[in-house]
Amino acid sequence: MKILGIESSCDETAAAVVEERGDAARPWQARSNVIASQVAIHRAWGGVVPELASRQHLRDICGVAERALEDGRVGWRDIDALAVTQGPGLVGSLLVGLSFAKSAAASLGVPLVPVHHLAGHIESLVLEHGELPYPASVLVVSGGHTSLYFVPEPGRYHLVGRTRDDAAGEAYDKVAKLLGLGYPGGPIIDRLATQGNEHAIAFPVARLTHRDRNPAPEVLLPEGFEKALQYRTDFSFSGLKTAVMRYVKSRDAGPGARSAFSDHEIADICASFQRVVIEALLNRTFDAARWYNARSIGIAGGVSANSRLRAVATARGEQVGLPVFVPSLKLATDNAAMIAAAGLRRFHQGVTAPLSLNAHANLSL
Amino acid sequence: MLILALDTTTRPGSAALWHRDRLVEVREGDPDRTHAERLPADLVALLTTHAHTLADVDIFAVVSGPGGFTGLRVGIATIQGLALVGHRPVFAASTLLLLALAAKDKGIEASAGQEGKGEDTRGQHDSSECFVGAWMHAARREVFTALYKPVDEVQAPELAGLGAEDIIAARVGLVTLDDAAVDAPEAVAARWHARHPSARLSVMGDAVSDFADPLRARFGNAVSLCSPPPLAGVLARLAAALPDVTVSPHAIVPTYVRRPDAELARDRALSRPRSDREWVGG
Ligand SMILES: Nc1ncnc2c1ncn2[C@@H]1O[C@H](COP(=O)(O)OP(=O)(O)OP(=O)(O)O)[C@@H](O)[C@H]1O
Repeated sequence: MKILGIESSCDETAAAVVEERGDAARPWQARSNVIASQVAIHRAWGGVVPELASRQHLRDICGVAERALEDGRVGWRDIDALAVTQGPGLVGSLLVGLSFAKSAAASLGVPLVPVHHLAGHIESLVLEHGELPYPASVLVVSGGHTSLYFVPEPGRYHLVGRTRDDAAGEAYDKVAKLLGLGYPGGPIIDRLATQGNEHAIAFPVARLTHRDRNPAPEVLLPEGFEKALQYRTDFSFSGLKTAVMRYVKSRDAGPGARSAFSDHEIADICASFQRVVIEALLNRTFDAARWYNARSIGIAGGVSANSRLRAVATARGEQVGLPVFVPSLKLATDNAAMIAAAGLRRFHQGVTAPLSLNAHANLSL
Repeated sequence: MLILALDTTTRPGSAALWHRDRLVEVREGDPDRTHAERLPADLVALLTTHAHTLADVDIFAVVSGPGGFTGLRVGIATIQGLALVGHRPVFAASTLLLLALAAKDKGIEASAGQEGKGEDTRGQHDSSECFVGAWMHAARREVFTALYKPVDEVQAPELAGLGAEDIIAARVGLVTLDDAAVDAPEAVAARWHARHPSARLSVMGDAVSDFADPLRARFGNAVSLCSPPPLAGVLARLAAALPDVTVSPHAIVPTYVRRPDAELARDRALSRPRSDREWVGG
């Protein structure tokens, strides 16, 4: 079976053809994965401008879809189903991909499978590495999301924690903007941090959950993960962002503060900020893994591209004997191959959408 | 030839089917449901009623705007999906041109009707003297507008280098006098009047009922105002008349007229004296 995935939830227009391999351990293979990025458009604004994003999706969608077929060496008639991101995301952006996918499916007379964007990120790990050892503790971390999922078996996702304010990628972007480093901030801070001392500045770690003050039992299973789910473990990054802002202000530097600091100091700020983010992300991901007796760790989404995050996660995994899975760059940031993969998963769970399918900006998983 | 036409620029919108040499049906949509919920099912239903399928359609037609941004994009993306998969061309025309065309046709019908009564009024109501305009709701107490002058059909050599929309306008005998714009009704009425103080106008659009006082104030009896028919019908008829002016689905250009708020805010900020400027884009 071949499925065409369409993704337009934020600022990337993407289409991909994914096919089943007939191997339960490594179920899918991407035949193509086409992404038209709008980063260059939004860079001038220091962030994604929804109306500009929607307009660009409409310009790109036909070409991107055609290119995905071409790269995958298939024609429209070879497509057995379509998968499309239904949410969450920017509604104007989502609607371009969704409307296009619905009419393409209607025209082909094939089923349409609605996909949750974060399910796509989770399944990007399976697309890349094959089925994970389950249960798995999977962190989805991007510019729009920071959510931790317990995945007891293929295709089942339980939210166990999420950010209460900024997403981690958003914190990277905002701090980079504050320092006048450019957009998107993640890759820039990632690069600069390698030159800095991560202990130079003691930025605070947010402590906001019950368990931050009252440690949970070491292992919550075998009482069952439903009980473990009570120990939700949320994230918060706005305090950290504010701390960086205060630090910058204490040096009398306004927005775009780059000139007030030496390159060396900028690198120290980046490294120190990044250390706190990574600690917060990984502490909770590994705690959850322990509570739920997870057999593997997954980290997906745009921020999973972070080199330090990958290195620290892998080292910590080795310490506790848990394999850590991250997607390759092309599958880490928003893409449609992951949507197609998650679509295949859902299709076999019996989920298809009527033509009245609508987009949901706040769809939950 | 089977033409399926879609208009999503107003809340209800409309769909129309043209077969061979006639308009088979024009259907208005249900304003209580969004275009996203209704499409493409409304189109499939219209085809099914007349025993056609999507595969039978030769040309997909879509109103390219202006109108509500979201509805507009849902309509265009829907037509793109259908046309791309079906390997069919797309006929696209702006809401403003369709309104002006409908106003022109209505004027011709009216004067033909009067001739029928034996009253030759062409001296006063020569349609070439009467400009036609579009007057659409644009929210924010503004209107989308355009003004055209009816002319005899323009010949092919004069069309070289024109964009699809201008070619369509010229081929149906309309020349743009005042470009597509979005502005306060008073401002547009004043501009039109300043340029064409003694013109007679026939103006069509969904804003004539509640936003046309400035036009009446400026032009008095010289302006006639009419509510629009469902535009998918006008579009289907136009596509049937000009089946050679189609584009590929990739090349549909939405007619937004109004620029994105972010750009407007930036321009406002940049035009203020430097000391008052806030940080933009933050
Ligand atoms: N090397 C990196 N280190 C840290 N952050 C990164 C890195 N590379 C990218 N990012 C961040 O990842 C985010 C982009 O992620 P992604 O492509 O998944 O897009 P998104 O629009 O944020 O996604 P979503 O819609 O899933 O929230 C940006 O915030 C960017 O700064």
